[in-house]
Amino acid sequence: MTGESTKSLAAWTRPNSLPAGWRGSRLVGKIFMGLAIALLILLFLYPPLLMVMAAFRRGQLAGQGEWTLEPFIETITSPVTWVVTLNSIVLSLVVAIIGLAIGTFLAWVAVRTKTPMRRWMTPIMAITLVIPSLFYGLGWYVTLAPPKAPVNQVLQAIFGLEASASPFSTGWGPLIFVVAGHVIPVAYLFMVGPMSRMDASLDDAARMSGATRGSAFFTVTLPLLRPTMLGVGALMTTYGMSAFELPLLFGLPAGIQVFSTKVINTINESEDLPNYAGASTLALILVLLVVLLVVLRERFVGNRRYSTISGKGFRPEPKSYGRIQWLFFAVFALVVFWSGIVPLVQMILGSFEYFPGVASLGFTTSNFEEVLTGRRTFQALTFTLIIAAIGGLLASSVALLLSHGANRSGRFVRFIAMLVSWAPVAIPGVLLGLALLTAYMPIPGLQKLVGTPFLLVIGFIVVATPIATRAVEGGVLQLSAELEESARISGASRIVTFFTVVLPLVLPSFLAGWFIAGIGIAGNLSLPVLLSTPTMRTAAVTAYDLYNQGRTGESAALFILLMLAVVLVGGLAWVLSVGVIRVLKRSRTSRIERAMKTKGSVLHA
Amino acid sequence: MSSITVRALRKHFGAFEAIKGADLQANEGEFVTLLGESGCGKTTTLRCIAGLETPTSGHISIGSRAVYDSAAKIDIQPERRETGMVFQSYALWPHLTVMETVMYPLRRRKVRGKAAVDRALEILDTVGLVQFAARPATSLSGGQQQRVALARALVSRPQLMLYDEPLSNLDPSLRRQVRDEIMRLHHLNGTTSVYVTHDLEEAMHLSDRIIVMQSGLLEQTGTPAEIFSKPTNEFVAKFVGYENLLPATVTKVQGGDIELKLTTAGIDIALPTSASTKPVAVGDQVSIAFRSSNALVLAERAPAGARRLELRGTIERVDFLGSRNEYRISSGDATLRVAESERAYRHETLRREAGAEVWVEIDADLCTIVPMGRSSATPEASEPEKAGASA
Repeated sequence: MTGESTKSLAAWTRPNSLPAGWRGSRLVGKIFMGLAIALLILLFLYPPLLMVMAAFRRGQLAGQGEWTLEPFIETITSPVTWVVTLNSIVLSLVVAIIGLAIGTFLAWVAVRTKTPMRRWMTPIMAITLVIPSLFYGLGWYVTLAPPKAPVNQVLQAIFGLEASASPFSTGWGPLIFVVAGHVIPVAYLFMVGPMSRMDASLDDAARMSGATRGSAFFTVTLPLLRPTMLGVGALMTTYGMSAFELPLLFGLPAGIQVFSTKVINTINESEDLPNYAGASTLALILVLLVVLLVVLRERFVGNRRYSTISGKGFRPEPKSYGRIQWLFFAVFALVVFWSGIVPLVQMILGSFEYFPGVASLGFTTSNFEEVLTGRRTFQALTFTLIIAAIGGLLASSVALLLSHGANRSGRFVRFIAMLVSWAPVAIPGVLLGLALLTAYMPIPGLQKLVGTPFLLVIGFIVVATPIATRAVEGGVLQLSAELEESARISGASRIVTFFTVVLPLVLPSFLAGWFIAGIGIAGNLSLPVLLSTPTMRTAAVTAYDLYNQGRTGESAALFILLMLAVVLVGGLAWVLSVGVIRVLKRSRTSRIERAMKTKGSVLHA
Repeated sequence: MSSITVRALRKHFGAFEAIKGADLQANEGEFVTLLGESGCGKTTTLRCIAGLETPTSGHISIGSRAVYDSAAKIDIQPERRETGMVFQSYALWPHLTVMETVMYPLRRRKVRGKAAVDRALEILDTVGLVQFAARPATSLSGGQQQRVALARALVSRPQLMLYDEPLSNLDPSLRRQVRDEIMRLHHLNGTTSVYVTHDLEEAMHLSDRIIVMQSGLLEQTGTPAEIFSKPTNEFVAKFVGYENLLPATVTKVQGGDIELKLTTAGIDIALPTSASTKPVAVGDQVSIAFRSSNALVLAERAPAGARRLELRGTIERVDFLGSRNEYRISSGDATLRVAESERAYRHETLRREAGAEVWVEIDADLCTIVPMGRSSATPEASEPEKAGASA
């Protein structure tokens, strides 16, 4: 053996009072870890904590003023509060179940069957996701609600119903229908990655053990995906709980209040002081519900390991299921119409109408002219895209580091990671901007950032990390520990292992997390409304302003431009990243090949 | 090449004690196997040596360099221990080709360019996989994948090779092939190796020395021949294939002989002292152990001659296995297991059915006297300390 390998042990035997795990590079690692945890707690956990405290104070601003129990007791004892809670629970659970069931089914169809168009399902679903919820809601609202809406006209023609009596305009039915349509693509995109990386031989084993195709799906495929499904299911539930625009359009007219709408209602109900304490009390119930959800998820997943990417070969082969695949395709087409095409077409039409939904007035391009000639339009679009790209990247990175760290570390880190990835969800969407602002204001460093894009980006990271985590953690859970251990044995440090083994293997999940987080940021309204100054409005906020001013056509036009921009930039980025990866890979292989050739010629000479 | 020394190694997982004070030593170039049932702590011991697991206490050094010492507070990261490891599940990276996989350890150790390619090709040539260099590592067959894993472990010329049940995921024919490969590479490189397995034959074939482990304790250390023919306790005896353990009491130790009384059959037998792995005294409770294949089934008692153990019994069951017959024969309170070779069952005439009365005979030199009890039991099971304690 050559001598270069044996290092002197003299440096290591120096007596020291610190245990081995607390010295040298490990100490540096621990300090770094400690700082990171402190920062995470400050950014992610402090705002919800502050909001909890705000339930017991009364003043001009949230979380300030005198301490009092009065608004808390008042809200808690009000029967309306519990009706709202029940409404939110029903809405979110029903929507989560529908979304998860259809999303998981379609993910399986896309990966494991030979259904026509299966290769197009993921890109189409991803594009569907780009539709901001306000825009999506308006699209369906125009389709369902007004007396002249197409659905109502058909109903009136067939059943002779009175326009006002149409059961499809507002109420529980349309509300659940519309919210579910909005979350199915999310569920699909979260499920398709883990599904495609699952070892198909596990299914084959079930088939050989006497299971039919169907029962193999229910007894092996689904249970193996349980951690992912529970995570996604929990996320879907919180979607329903924090939904704002859709209940506002479809629930409120029928008297159905959910958390977000009730929170706004509560803040504004009194004349003299905004009732932040009452709103925070409502939020407190939401916090408890989210905690319950997370505890349930932890109990179900437990400490069981579901590593389905092992070091052994795996090839999930799609199988043909015969003619029933056309039924699968029909379900897919239906979902695309439901969550994409109908509202989209409606709003595209609307953007060319003088007043959206009123086609009788004729068509015009004036909305687009107005928006495109607008001074700030281009600026707002660019700003939105940059913020979304950066915020999404950072959120996805935080998500990856957190889930990987949690998966490979002790209980404490796992606990922190879990808190961080769920805490922001516990703040109702409409309160989020306020919570972050009141939490960060007193902190010296962050104070200076108020009014700059940096605070907006930080806020977006906090908002988007829970979503990005759900996208990334499934991929991380599937990595078997031995793949990293073999890299360590091969001489790679923890950091090098992370970049050469972990990152390449979870890259699809990481990119998905980036994309989903970026889209969430681009369409987010609650945060930029409070945190951005007029010179740095996001496109979504600008469009929302237009809508509030009654310029619905222009608002639709701007939303369409935003979506086009996101799709264009997202697609371009995707093509670029695939290209770069391919070029890098090829250059590496060709370098090796060249070297092998020269070596070969030497051998043969 | 380096020796490896492990002293007083302990590892707790919460309340569970996986290793209860292990001492082991492998000299330069030696091939040492940790043999034991699953869950006995052998893999944990290996992972502690590799640095993938941090022991609770103890000392590990590779060569003259301490890589773990709880007292001196040393714990060197796995990537700096210069070991190579072969995993049970291969642990090949799905995103890399065979060539990239094998070059990975070289790149991490700053070997670059032509030198790295040359070395990688050399090792791939050694394992016969040069033609697959450009293929993704996980697209190969099981045996080929494990050979890639072997190449990856060996490519950077490690101080120490660690094998964690590398053959248990392979089918039997491949198992033999990869085993020969490991043997060949070991002799080629002469790297000190620590190998973990639950398979007796693997351990016998590969090892210079075998360490038998049971529930976190080292039970016996010895050459394959010693372990095979001179187990020092009942656990090891059963593990190395002594199906028959008959309880007996030492009645007399005289000259070169030990006289015993079989508890079940009540008969007396004298065996040479060399049959016992440890010194015995009158009154000791021991077991007389023999393998089923070393016993003969006879219709009539053989004429007196060589010294042997003779037991009268009734056949309970016969299993025909082609190359042999396997009998369960009840003799007194004991049930004997006897295997009859093809040669014997073709030549001997015998009523081979349940209920038949037969004689079972074992040559005395094929019997081993093992101390009674499943385990040699004390945490400090290694020989020198035993001797020290009795002195």
